[in-house]
Amino acid sequence: MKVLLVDDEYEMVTTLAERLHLRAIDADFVFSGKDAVTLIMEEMYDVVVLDMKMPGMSGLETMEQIQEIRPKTKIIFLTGHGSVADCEASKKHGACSYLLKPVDIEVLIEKMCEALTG
Amino acid sequence: MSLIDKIKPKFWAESKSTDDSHITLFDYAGIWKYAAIGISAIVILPLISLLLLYHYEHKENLRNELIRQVSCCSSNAGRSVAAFFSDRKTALCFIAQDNRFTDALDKKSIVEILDRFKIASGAFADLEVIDLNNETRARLNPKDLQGKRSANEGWLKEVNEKGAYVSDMFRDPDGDPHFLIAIRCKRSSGDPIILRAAMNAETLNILTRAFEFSSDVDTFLINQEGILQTSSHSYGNTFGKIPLSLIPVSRGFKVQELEDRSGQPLIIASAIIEGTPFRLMTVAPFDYRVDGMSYLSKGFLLLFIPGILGVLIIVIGIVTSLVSRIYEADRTRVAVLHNIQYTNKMASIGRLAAGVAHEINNPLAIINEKLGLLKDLIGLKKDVSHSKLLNIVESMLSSVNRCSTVTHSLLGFAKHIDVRFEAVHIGPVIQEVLVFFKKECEYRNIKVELVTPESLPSIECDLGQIEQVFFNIINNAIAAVDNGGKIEIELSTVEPEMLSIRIRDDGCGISAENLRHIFDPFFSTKGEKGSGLGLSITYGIVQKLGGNLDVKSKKGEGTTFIVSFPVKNGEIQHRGG
Repeated sequence: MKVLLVDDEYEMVTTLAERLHLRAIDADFVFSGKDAVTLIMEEMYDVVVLDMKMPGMSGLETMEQIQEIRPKTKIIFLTGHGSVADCEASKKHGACSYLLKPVDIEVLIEKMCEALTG
Repeated sequence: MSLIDKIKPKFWAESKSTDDSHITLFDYAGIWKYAAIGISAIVILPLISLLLLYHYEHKENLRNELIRQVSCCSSNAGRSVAAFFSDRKTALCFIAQDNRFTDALDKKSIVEILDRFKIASGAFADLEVIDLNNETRARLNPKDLQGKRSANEGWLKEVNEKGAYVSDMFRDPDGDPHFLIAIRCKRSSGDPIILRAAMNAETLNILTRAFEFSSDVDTFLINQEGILQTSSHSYGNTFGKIPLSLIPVSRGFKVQELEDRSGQPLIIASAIIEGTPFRLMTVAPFDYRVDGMSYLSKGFLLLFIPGILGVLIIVIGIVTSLVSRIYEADRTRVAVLHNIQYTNKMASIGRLAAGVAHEINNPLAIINEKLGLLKDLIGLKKDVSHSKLLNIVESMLSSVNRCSTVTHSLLGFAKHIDVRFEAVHIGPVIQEVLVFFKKECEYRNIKVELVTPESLPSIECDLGQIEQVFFNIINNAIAAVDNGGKIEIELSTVEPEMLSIRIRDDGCGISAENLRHIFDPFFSTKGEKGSGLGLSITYGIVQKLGGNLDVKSKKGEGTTFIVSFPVKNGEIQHRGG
């Protein structure tokens, strides 16, 4: 499973990537939606974990562009800004899951697996 | 509870209330007073004007009527007095034509003739026959009634020139007023002779008074010097000087109006008695102050006074009803405002909670991941370098610091829930508010510039409420600007006692149409995203704190909110601050 982590929180995203590596999951990371879109055009990812609020391009905008480029790529939102409206909007646009920070890594992996199998 | 308390409208006490929970926009008692006085004046003044006009017209009518009566009296009396003198002169002529009298000049004949004459016309006290040398040829009364007058030759000249003469009044030796009538005639021999008669003034007194048409009207004779020739009710007995400034009259009669020494208005008619030195005066007091009000009959007063009272009661009733309705509407408005303020507060808390959750969840996520990593490393029994461990701990401590910054700001908000007036420095307050928008500004690349002069006074106001004001305005500014936009916040003292805060954004601006409604409750341009309460509440709070809120905006050129607060606020004393 190849995963792309997109979050402007450097410490969080790098640590999460390291922990996924420890679990034999191939995880890349970028710090903005724009970088994620650029990378997606070059690389194939099974799952993209997106933050909702990021400088420049928001999580929803990034998801829309990713879906245009890689329609089969699964999207999971992992955000500290949890709201019912955001959750509904993400589901409406085709996100597989909407998780709130802080998240248990096992739950995250489970959701990623569900996304791939579901 | 007294009767006054029962009928006193509810708003009366409310106007004086300083209860903070019910701040009213109006001084109801003041409105009531102005409206009641104003409307009463509008209704009653025309009535009183009509009454005064009627009074004036009536006074003029009374005056004209009195002038007419006095003129009539004076004219009639003047003609009668003139006729009196004419009769007497005619009588003397009649005597003169008696040859026995003019020719004989013996006392016996004179007495005989005079006795008959007294019976016929009365008032004759003496009769004297005088030749052209002023020598008495015959005389009835041995006493010289005329005293020194007989030596005065002025009368002789006049009687020779005009054929007749009437003298002023003079006193006889007994002190009684008399006057002389002299005529010039010819004896049968052809020699001229003068008949001079002394007459008692009482006949004239009786004659002049006969024309007094009411008890307060005074009719009397005066001579050319203004000396009374008959007695007067008002100015004393014969020979007194009347204290009036009379206009000169050459012939006929004239009416004049003047005031006597006591200020009493008088209507005076003067009639010249031709062929005599006398002037007949008719003096009538014009007391319209008594007469003028006497027309206000009981019926009229019974209609007018209750009418005025009725109008006043109706006006007061209507004004009380209207002000009560305004009061009730204002109470409803305050209650609604209170509710929407609460709703807005809840919406603010919601926004705050979402922002806080985001700001805390992110560092918590970092801590979570770092601790997870540590657990992973320990679980996998990997060798971990000392520096890596240190980095993990540093990162977690940094995240804890981030959390504490947010929670401290939250505490800053929470401690201002109770309304309390205190000295507040605006600069730090705005910085504290900006913490909540920091991340959003970073995400959207919005530049916020805060310009605070060094020596800026603190203001006296409620910290919690002023934070809400800036939270709402800055929140609006952030919503209005595009990504990469700019917000300038400038603090200054435009007036010595006023602190001004200008919050300018370069966002989309507000159209002139929307600008008119921007402070209206439930007016929103954000569609479903906005409650339409934020600026309405903000406006209410600023007013409540004694400040002003103004907005300037043009479509496409950004918006500037100008908030100003008084440096000193009377409320702080009121609240025992």
